[in-house]
Amino acid sequence: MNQQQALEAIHAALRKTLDRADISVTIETDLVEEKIVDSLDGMMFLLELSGVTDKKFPESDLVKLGFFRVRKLVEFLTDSIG
Amino acid sequence: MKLRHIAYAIPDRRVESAVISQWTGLDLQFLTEKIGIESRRFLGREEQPIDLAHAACRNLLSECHELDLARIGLLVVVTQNPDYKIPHSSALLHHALGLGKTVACFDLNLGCSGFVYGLSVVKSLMLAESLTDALLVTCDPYSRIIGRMDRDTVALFGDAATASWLSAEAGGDLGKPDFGTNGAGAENLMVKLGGSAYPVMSIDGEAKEAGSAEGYRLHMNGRGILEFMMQEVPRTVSRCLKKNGLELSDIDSFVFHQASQYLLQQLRKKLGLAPEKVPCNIRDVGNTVSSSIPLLLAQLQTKEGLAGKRILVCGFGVGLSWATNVIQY
Repeated sequence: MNQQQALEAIHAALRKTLDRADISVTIETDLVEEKIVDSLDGMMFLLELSGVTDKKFPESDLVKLGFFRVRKLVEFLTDSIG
Repeated sequence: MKLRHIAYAIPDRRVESAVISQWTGLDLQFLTEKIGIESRRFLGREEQPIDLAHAACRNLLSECHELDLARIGLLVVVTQNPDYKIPHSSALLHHALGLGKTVACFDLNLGCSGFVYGLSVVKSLMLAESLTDALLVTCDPYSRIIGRMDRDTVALFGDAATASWLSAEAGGDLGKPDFGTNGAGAENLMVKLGGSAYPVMSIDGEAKEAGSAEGYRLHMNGRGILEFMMQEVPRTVSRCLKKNGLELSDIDSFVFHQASQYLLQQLRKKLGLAPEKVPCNIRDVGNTVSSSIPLLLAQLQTKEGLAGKRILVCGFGVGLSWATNVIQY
């Protein structure tokens, strides 16, 4: 998966989770800091993203690990980390 | 064997979400609009689980004048938080109700799937022993095992008890159930200390230093639980419908375990169900564990009547476990 595909997957999972077609994020977006997702939406979003990408997220606290920053997510999905 | 009538009791002590917000720092709007709970009930300090279970049974008796306790052959109490480690709560309730000495009593150690499991257990034993009447009681007061500042649990759970009368004569017919377990996920919902693995006394019987208070409280991994529910609930619903030769459109109401408003909305979306087909009563009582399904059924029974309706009931949680069945009224 390349960066563009990762961003598309993130958008798709966000749209499904939030039931909104107008969601737009960039590589710099922090989904928690910018209040795009709360704790419940965050869990649901990761579940959707996991389904879309077939990637299993770590069991640990993903907020603390920075997984709600789009850059970190993209790196994870493109196998640059983790 | 039929599910004839359900009654319930809730404690007087009401805990508003504004108070939970003060305890935990959680946003009040998040609690009331997203989780969907305005208030929940907790047992009073002097009140015991058996008092609440007894109150539910008294309500059942007052709502059903034709219920004759002398005909009861079986009493099952669903709980994982009994009054005492020994004896079983059903024995205490047996005494409180003044039931006869020939009545079979036992507890069913299950959480949120317990009521639906209980229906099948009671039905099976009634058929095997030719019993005409039985009581299935739920009472699992989580207020006694949740930390007041635990953001993962204290906002969700409330206490309640229900009493269901199962009878050979009249009521809703139980269909073919679907059961399941994923023990690999057991630690996602767990009270670690106080059992025989980590007893309060040391293994040789000497008093030992108490462990951390947190270990005696409920631990919930919200992400693990959400993932389990979103994966397993649609599957068990589908299997149960297939076993009963039914389609989604054949069901009048889907009475799911009332985990949270958010989860119910997500399940409804995933299954493609209309909002009016998925009733929710969580706003004033919270998640009442094994009582949530019978409590909602009892309220539907009072508000709109259940005659002629086909209702799917689906419980899921501790274990991790799940159970689904169809009730044809």
